[in-house]
Amino acid sequence: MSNSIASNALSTTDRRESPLVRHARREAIIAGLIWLAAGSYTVGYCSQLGYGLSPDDVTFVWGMPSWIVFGVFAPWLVCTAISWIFSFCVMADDPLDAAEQELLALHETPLADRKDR
Amino acid sequence: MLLAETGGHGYAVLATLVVFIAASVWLGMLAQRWLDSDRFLEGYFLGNRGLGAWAMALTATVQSGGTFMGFPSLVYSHGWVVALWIAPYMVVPLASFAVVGKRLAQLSRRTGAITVPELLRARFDDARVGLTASILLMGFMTIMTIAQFKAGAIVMKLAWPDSGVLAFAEDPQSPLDLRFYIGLAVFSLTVVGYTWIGGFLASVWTDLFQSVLMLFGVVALLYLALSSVESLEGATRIAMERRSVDFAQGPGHAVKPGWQFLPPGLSISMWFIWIWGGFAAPACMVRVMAASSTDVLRKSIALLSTYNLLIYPPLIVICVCAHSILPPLEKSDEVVPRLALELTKSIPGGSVLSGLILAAPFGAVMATVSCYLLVIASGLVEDVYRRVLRPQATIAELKRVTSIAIVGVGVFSVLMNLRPVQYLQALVVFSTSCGAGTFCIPVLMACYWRRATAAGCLAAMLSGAGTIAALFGLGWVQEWAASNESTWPLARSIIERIGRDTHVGVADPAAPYYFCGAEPIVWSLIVSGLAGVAVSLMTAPPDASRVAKCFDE
Repeated sequence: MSNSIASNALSTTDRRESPLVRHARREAIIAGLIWLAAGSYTVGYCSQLGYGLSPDDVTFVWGMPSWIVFGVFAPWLVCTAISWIFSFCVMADDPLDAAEQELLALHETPLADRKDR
Repeated sequence: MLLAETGGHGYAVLATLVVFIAASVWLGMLAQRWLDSDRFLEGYFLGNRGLGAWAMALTATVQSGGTFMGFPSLVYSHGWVVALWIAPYMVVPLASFAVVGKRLAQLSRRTGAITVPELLRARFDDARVGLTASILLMGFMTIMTIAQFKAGAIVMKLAWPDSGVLAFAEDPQSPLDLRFYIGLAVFSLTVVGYTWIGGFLASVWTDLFQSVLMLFGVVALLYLALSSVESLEGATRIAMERRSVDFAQGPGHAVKPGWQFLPPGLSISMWFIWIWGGFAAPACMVRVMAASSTDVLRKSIALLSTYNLLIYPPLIVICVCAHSILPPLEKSDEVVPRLALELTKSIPGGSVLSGLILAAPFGAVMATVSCYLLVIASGLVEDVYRRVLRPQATIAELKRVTSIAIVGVGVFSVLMNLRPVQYLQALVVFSTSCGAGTFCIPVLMACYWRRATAAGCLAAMLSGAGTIAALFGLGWVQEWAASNESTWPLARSIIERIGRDTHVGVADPAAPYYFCGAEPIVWSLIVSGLAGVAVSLMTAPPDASRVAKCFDE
């Protein structure tokens, strides 16, 4: 037990987390926040302005109900733009690991003969 | 009369289907040339991890089946609120590729895994995790595959020129006659054939082919529809008169009295279903594992977000315009086929375009089935045969087993459709939800939490699946009780305890129990997350060297 703890402690201090993991974690959090913001705005706006309307209350923008234009289609456009910005300005271009030969040797070797990875 | 003129679809659809089939087989043979014989499994099931941005973007979410079959019908029936229902697709690309994409692709390479169960097994260094994931995944996917074979057979049957049908949606009332079995044979031979020949790449390329064709079809139909109406507002007002004022607002027009399509609470659930259910779908995760580089993932986010913007909002506009162009339809499923026929009848080459649009559901079902076949077969070959039965298997042997697996799953699906199970669609909905609820939290834990343990992963998988199963089961019991309340005391007792159906969402007798008005996946994620975290913290930490291999430089 103590050897295991010591081993874990030693590994913890010596470890250097892969840059891809750090970047991916950050990007996942950002994507999650975008999801939360988009969902909150869309559901909030539409539930407030798109329900309980009388026929005279329904207003149109470019032929579409205004609550759809500003509550769904406008944020959709914004999210598409954000997706492009995220793709090319935020998401780090990390290499995906494993040289080709290493991967070939790993996978095509019978399981019984493989070194555990 | 318009209805008489558009009562049939002629030979254009059948001709288009033949073209689809021929193109798919050709693509399958083309894909076979790309398979590297030295890396057979990786090539056959992951396309040599060489998936490019266009293929990734347009095929990863495997959305094409429902997009062009049920979705237009919902818009035509319920109105503009369906835009709110589908709105989460504005961030699906980010969720599908940015949340776990890079980590799955990296872990897949570091562990050599070509399937999701194998990845989880290797990450947590526990055979029970892999076996559990394999059993659950193959169970869910098999049910969905059987249902898709039936859908494909029905589409083929309805494509005969004198069938008198336009709606190529699965019709549970459609009788099982000779044409159904011929359609089943043709569909099965085609899909199993090109998938068996070309593997992952054949599946992806045919899916890509179909997705691109649909984009052209939707854009063309949008132009034609907007050109044919006086105004979009006018079309909406006609729909409001025909249906109700709720066509232009939430919760949407009710097709059944007392039913609400999308109350605000349920609209929140959609942000969980489409997003969390999307990135954890096994078919999506497999494609992400096949990405050739991070640059492909980045470009895929941009491409798919643009594709979704060009598909969904236009489809909504098209289906609203239908109220101004067509007379009231008895079958809402027919809105896109009837629009296609009406809007193209007087333009040069219009029959080609209409044939393309009418045949689109067939391409969508083919793409879906091909993907499912590969996921199941990869599980059988890699997770069961190679890992459990024959670790010493050679490449030649694995090729034979792969062929047997692909063809075997196809034959099994055909046999199950000779006398199809009743309520198959209900099982499909249940299986789809289970898949999402089962893998979402475990995959997040595997990717980002060093302290996650094998026991925690198992707890998350089983509790997620169990929650979905419980809520769906409760919904089916509730439905049975409501139908038998007057004759069975037990039924009355059940209704007293759990209440009546809240009548929200899509009107479906196989709907789940909406606890607190939310979709089952919401509770599944909560339960799965709590179980995964709690059990991980209560069990011994994972081996540091194993974790380092998956997380560190």
